[in-house]
Amino acid sequence: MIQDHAGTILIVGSLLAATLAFIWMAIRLGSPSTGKNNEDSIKTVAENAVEQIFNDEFREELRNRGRLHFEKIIGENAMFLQQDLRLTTSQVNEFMKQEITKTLKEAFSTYEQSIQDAKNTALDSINKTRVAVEEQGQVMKQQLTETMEKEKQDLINRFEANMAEIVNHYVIGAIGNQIDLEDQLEYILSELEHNKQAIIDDIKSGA
Amino acid sequence: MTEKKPNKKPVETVKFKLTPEVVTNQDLSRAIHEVEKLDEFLYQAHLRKAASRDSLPKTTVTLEKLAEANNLSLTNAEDRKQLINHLRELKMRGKKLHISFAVEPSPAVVQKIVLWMRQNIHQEILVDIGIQPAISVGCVVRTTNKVFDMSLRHRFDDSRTMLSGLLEKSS
Repeated sequence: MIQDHAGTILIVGSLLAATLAFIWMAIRLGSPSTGKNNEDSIKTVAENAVEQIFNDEFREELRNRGRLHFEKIIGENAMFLQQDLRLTTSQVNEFMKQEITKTLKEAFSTYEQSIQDAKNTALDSINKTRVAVEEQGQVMKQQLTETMEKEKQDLINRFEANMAEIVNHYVIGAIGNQIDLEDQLEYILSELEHNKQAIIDDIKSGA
Repeated sequence: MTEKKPNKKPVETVKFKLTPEVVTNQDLSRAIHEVEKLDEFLYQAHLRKAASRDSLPKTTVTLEKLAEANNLSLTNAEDRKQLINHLRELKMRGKKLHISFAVEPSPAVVQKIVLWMRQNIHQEILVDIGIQPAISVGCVVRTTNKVFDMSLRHRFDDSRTMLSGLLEKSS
């Protein structure tokens, strides 16, 4: 950088020195004693001096210096641009990363919330179902108990209602046909004796 | 033996006895039919003047015992008439009773029961015999208006409270 400035100062100093030399020669040649020829000669000298100062080599040097300077500036700018680009890329990356992270976080949050809601809904539904099943089970249990109790009571009632028939059935099954009417005669006569008066009354009053 | 158709005379009010052989209404009907048949036979024989004691139709033990128990002679037209009238009267106005057993009773059992009934219930009672296998043990007596269940089942029915108590005690 310092070298660039020194080069620039040197070029500017050279230009100023050439200009001063040109002006001094113009003043020397422009005295009153000279005429039209002097003017031409001065002009020619000036042109020669200019030509001498700004010769092709000098111009090439200037062109090279300008090219180098331009290349240098281009390089610097390219570097700055590259730095800026890198910085920008980095920032963009960072921004993108943040944005993506933020978006993903939001999406995940939403997704998590949705899952949580779905989970809560499912849990509520399961709980309701469980409660309903438990209630239904309780009702069924109660109904079953009542039905069994009723069935049991019906069975007992039927048994009690038909007890004589059942006992008679088992007695008959046990004794079979072993008791004939001859053996039953005593029982029959005792029963007739027991109902004797009722039979007499009914026969006497017979329609 | 001479026989003539007797004139109609009022039935004497003597106490008529039924023998144990006459148990049912059918027995009575058969006896009436038999004595009527005998009466008709003797009447016809009298008209033809061909009858003799040897040619008399064979009579059943039931009819003979019935006549004997009531001091009636089957060869006497008046007695036969009296017997017929008595039997018809019994058939029309006699006391009837129906008794059912589980199985067909033997004649001896029937006679014993009928004898008891004629001694204790009514001396001219007629008993119809029926069969009800459901009775198992005992009998069922049916009079005009009532049914007397004297079966063992009915006895158990009456003893239901006692049976329930026994069951509860055993359980």
